[in-house]
Amino acid sequence: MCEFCGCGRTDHAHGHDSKTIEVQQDVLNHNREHASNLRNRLGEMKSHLVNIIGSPGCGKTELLAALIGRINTQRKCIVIEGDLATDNDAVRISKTGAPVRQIQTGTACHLTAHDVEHALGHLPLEKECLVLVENVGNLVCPSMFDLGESMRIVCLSVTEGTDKPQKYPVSFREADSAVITKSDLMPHVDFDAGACTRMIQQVKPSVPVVLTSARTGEGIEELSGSILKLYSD
Amino acid sequence: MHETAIAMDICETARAHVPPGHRLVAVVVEYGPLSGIIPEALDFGFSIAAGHFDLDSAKLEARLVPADAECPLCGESFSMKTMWDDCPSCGHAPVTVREGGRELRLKEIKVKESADV
Repeated sequence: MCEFCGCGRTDHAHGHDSKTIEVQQDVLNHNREHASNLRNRLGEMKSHLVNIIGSPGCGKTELLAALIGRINTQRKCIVIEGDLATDNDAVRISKTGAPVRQIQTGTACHLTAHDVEHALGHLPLEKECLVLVENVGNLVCPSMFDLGESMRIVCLSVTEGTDKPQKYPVSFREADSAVITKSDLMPHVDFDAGACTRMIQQVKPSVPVVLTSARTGEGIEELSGSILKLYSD
Repeated sequence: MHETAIAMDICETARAHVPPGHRLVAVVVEYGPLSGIIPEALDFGFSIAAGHFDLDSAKLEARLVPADAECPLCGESFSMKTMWDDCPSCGHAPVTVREGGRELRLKEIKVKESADV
């Protein structure tokens, strides 16, 4: 038996040295191609996709419901919900009247552009509509996956601590807009909105930071306005 | 653990480049400090993904590609190795990334002739 590779041949006619093959391929290429297809398709329809990222329980679904309430008189909203399991969030969103599709990722901690393409196939995509995507609750992994969005919103709630942007800089670095949620709870928690805003803007200097509460409506108009601005830009 | 999903992509691409009659022994991945990759997590993800693709004997080699950064305060140019790097000269943060940082690419694969060919 060949002592190098255990191949059972004795003539050693095959080489044992490894050979290097250049590949030079972007690892996320596959996702980027799907994202680019989505972006083109949405662009042709003059529609936009907004990708909403944040930790589990930071209030993404309530924020979405509040945004839909404000936006759907001007733009038709359709929603894609990403969760590891259950369609609870889709059920909550369906109460707003917006068409919604739940993606259950099983074990995957993020949505991919391919997931979104697939879900959109089940939704009534129209001209000049708004696709709102609530990503899987996670502040790390979803930030690496382009979903063909025109705008990426990263959320954190006042209960999560002022220094979250320092602990999880990648998500904030890739955000087009940062949203602080649950501002109605500020009197009950030790959260410094000014310091948090400075930390977010240290990670990404130009990013707008909006303080919101889905319960009181604070900041919802401002955030809706910045989303609707996508259609006039 | 998005690294597992990324490792699956790496394995799929690598496997497509293995010539007939060869087996994959290593993949070389280059990553930037802003790629969001933790090499230890990628290594763990790769061990799972490689099993899934029948590439059990393959090893992952992750090489950091530093980014070109500049301090907006004192103008110092330096090579950024982690996303938390402050200016090495005056300690200011955040610094400005001039070029690179987000790379995540499968640079090359190493193959050997298959034992059973």
